[in-house]
Amino acid sequence: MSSYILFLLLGLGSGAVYAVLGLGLVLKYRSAGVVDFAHGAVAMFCAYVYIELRSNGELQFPWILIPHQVKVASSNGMAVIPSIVITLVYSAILGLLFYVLIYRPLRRAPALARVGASIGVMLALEGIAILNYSTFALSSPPILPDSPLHVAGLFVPSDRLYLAGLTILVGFTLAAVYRFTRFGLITRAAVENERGAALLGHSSSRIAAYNWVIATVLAAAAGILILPITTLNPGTYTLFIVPALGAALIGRFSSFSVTVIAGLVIGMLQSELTKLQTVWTWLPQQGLQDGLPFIFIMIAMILLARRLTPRGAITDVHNPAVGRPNRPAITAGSSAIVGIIALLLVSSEYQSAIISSAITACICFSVVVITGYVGQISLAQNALAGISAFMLSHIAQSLGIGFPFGLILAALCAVAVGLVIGLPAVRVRGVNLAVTTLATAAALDALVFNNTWFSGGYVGRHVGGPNLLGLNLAIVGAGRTYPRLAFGIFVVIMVALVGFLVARLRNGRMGRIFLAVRSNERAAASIGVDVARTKLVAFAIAAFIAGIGGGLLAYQEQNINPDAFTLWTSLTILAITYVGGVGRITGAVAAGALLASNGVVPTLLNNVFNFNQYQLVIAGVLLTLTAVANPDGMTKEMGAGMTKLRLKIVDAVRGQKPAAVGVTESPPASAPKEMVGR
Amino acid sequence: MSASVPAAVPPDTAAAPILEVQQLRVQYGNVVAVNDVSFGVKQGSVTGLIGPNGAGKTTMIDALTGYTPASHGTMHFEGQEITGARPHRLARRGLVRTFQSVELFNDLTVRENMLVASEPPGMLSALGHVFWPERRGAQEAAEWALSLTELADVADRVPTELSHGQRKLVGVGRALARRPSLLLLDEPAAGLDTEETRALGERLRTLPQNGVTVLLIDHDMGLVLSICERVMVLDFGNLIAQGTPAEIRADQKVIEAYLGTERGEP
Repeated sequence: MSSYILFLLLGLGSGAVYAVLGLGLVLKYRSAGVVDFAHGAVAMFCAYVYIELRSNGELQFPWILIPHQVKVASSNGMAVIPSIVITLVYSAILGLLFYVLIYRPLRRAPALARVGASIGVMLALEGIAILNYSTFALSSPPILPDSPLHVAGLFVPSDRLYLAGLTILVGFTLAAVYRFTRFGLITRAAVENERGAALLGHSSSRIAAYNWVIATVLAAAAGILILPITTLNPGTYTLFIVPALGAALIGRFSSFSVTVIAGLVIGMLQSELTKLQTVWTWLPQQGLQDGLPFIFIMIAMILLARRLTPRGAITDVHNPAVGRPNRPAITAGSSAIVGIIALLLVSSEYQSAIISSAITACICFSVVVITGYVGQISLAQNALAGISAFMLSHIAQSLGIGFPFGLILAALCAVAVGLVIGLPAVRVRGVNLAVTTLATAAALDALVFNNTWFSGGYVGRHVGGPNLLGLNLAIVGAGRTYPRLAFGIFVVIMVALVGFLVARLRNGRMGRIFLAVRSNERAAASIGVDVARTKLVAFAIAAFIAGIGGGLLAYQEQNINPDAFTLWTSLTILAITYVGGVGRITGAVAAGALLASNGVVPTLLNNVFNFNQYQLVIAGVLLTLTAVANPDGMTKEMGAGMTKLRLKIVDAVRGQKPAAVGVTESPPASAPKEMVGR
Repeated sequence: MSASVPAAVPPDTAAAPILEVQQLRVQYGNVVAVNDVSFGVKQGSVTGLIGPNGAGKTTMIDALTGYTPASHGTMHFEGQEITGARPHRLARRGLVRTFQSVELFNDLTVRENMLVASEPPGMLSALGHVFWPERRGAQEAAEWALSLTELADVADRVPTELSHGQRKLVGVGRALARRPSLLLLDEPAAGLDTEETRALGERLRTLPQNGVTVLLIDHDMGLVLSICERVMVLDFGNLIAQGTPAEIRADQKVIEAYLGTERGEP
């Protein structure tokens, strides 16, 4: 019995971190209205700042390429207290900069832009940490006293109890400050009514900045104090965000005390699961702990959905622009022909790059449908591709079903999971939906892709090549050519077909229903649109598209393993689609060609300098920049430019002078290709 | 095409109420927004519901169309109980509303705003049309709504490019494109100038000939009293009077509650 209690108490350490990060999320949300997905990444980076000060006296900066460290003490490192003080001051400045440069400009931006910006910061910090510190795990000597404490017949490391005590103290101090002091009163007033607070002489953005700084300093403190009982590496620390979001959600993003308790409970239950796995051996042996916050988030969403999203709240926000494909058949056909000609002309390296670009574009199409057209933020689209990729292997192996029915069946499996991901969308909106989909992607990552039976673990699973009516379309054959041209043509045609169907969908009745729901759910219901069913259908369609993309990826890789579908890859897919232009098919194509890590342009750059390693940083930085400066994505300008160019060419052919063309207006009906900015 | 096209009014039910409300009450906590209101709307009529600001007019529309749950009472539409039905179901059955705050689909052109309302709302057939060509049937209702609201000239523009008056009309047109048998209009004249209001009144008056019964909610007395056959007056959630425009003009309670005190209001 006592060992069960011991495991509960041991969980207080990580529970304290979740609780403090959760408190920071509540502070940021209450003051600035932002759910900061980068909160864990900030804690991670500050922990590196501390550990580098301690071990070699260098102060670290969040950038790459130019020297990122400055010597501030002897190489033997700095003492504990000054290191902590410097790190906390550092974190305060970092928090202030992030708020002023990124989140303040987004105060009135739609949920997608804010989610995009914070995920961009998260990816960028993650990428910077990997480049500067590698993924090698670091550990730290004790900071808090950790002598074993004798409690009720158990020896408990006392640092866990100190951490929990400090956390509770911080939580209740914040609760008291916000309830009883003038500062707390003003913060609450500013969130309720920004203009009202301004009339009383309080700048809401200054108040938000203070709160943002407090939250960041708390995150840094948590990151430092947890160091001795965990190991520091870029990934795990950043992903503390998932349980922290769970805690903040249970606290409804408003109650400090509930958030603290929820964080501690999540930590304790995770630890208890470790014990239970040794007793109940039928439990999954891997990933259960990481899946637990998902359950918390789901429960919180179901219980609190109504409170979180006041019904009929009128949103007068600017959604990302949506493309209007003019002639889908011609565009898709000519794109396929261009792709095939390119395949014929280039070396095998670039053939692979074209194939990768096309497959990534296909997965990005799913983001265009669900996030671009219907406005539902899904952070799990690449996980859906992964479900399909592994199912393709299972279906071929156990049922002996090959292409094309195997691919369709596999994509339908992704649809089943996609519906589960979409189910909360019936009741929750905007950023809350982003949180649930993030939690789902994390749970799939931890429980499903980590499951050796399902994914083959590190070895991965074999996927045989496609074969259509005796025509061998596999990427490798008897000869030595890799990739085989037949496979390249197959992929290009498949993806062009999917793009064509997405364009048909956009232009047709379904597209109008989707955009109606994105624009205004209340009004959509008033003319007979079943909003809940529309969202589910959209999630299903997007999952199917992602599933086709995942299947194609499996055919390309031949041996598919879980690394291809981690949480990071799903976030990256959203990031690059958003940067390309989330409302446009060309946005997805641009994402595949210009931004996908193995895409055409990155391959080109990779040959000039070692580009691949910077992908996460670049995706993150571009995502944040896009969210702040250009929410319609880069293809909006390209689309407008293309229209201008086309009209000039048409004029030139007719032998007329180029007319001045307002590029924001509709093109003449005869303009070929697609995408005109509006 | 069954429920969406209003049938010709059968002679024996011509006078029967298309909408019948009994003892409808809407309560938010302790605040009673609509207090045990009963009334009927005659098929083929233009009926008015007026009342000063805060009288509970919009709450009443919300309750009738499923946007707000009724705390008590029953509602019958075309003889069938609709209490507790969800908004999109009611819209599909022919009970369609507009919004005071317009609420258009700003990503769609004016024509598409009408089209999305006139097309059959089923998702499966919509999915089917990704793969094979669409039938053109639904466009008739959309074009009908466009011509009735005289918006054909701006049909290919997006609502954000239009004037407020035009946007109001798009809202009315979109509701008409659903081919309602009963149209609930929530303050369609708010924000329109005198000439626009008069033109709107002319159009609304013709709707019963097209098979659309109208319940017009507004606080523009001039509009309501000039085009409605029957008028009901709501004040602090209570129905204080109903009758012909002439009767309402003469009603002492109405004058006290509404006309007498609020005359200065435009």
